[in-house]
Amino acid sequence: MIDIIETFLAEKGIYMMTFVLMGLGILGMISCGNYMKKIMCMNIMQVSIIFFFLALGQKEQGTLPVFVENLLGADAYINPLPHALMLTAIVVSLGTTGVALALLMKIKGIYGTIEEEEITGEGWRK
Amino acid sequence: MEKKKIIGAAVIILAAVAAVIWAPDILPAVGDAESPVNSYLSTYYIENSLEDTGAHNMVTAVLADYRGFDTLFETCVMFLAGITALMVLSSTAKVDKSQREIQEPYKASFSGTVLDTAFRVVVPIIVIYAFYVFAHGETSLGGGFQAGALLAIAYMIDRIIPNFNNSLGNMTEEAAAMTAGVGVFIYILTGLLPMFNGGNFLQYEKLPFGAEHAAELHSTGIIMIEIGVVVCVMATIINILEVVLERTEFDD
Repeated sequence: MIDIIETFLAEKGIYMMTFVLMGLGILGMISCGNYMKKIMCMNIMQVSIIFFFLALGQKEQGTLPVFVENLLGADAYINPLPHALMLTAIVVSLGTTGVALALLMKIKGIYGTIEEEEITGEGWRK
Repeated sequence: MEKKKIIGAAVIILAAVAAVIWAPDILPAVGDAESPVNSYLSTYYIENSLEDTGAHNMVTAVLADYRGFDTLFETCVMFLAGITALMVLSSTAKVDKSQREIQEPYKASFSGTVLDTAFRVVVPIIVIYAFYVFAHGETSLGGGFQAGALLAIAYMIDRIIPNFNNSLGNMTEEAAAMTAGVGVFIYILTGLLPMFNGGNFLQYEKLPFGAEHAAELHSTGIIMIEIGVVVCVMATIINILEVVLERTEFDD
């Protein structure tokens, strides 16, 4: 029984962690009243997705995706495609965070606060 | 409110664990070389990218050569993000420079011997490392996005530590946005150059430079678009930083 659990955790455990991280990020985006915290939770969610894709690209006994002399064959290197895609995802997350910060400053300038309850007025979330 | 959050977090953690346990066949095991993700296209990339592109780093080969259009529009997204931040906040008045500076009782926490010395030691190393990462983007580990981010970090440290305010030169937000546009332009120009030589957009073999092998032209093309990416990423980060910092009051 312990063997089964150990194999399962070694093979699939990382997916559980990424799912948990993504769920917590979405939960934070829904439940936090502070817009700055919402942005942080959005970043946590994006990081979880990046982890998920990087975990998919791993290979046992694979080395970095940089060519080494006399080391041929697809099994010798880990998958470069998720790395390339996630590099662009990181850049997009940087852009979205920047625009979100700019919007946040606009909200602060107009309402004087970034607390959702104070902006909507009635505390409807409670 | 707090109790609801804890219950929600517990539900999500349980749901994630249950999803992985109940559907074990959908997700491949970590490290499985035979999984669908690691077959088909990526096998082709690993086996043929050195021959096709001449780049030792497969990630760069995929990013800059096979998926050149993807990276082009990625750079455009960065540029647009900077422009959008500038547009959103352009109607908000900038804070006066005298008020923007950190006032006297708080200045000690933003400067001091340790920070100043660290600045002198760290920033040159960061800049050298950024150029190293950029130059190695094609042959070993490195790349344009990372180098741009590192250069922006050097500027950011310089901008934030008050004793060295703008000692690396001051970039206004408009100048930063324009520089980002120049980066995108370098990228598009690299794509357009082969078209004057009878090739397609971003077809590096047809770059109008004299070279003996196609691999050299590929290297030249990759380096050129990486220059564009470095300039664009660096300028966009500086752009967003400047837009936000110029309207921030350090009053509390």
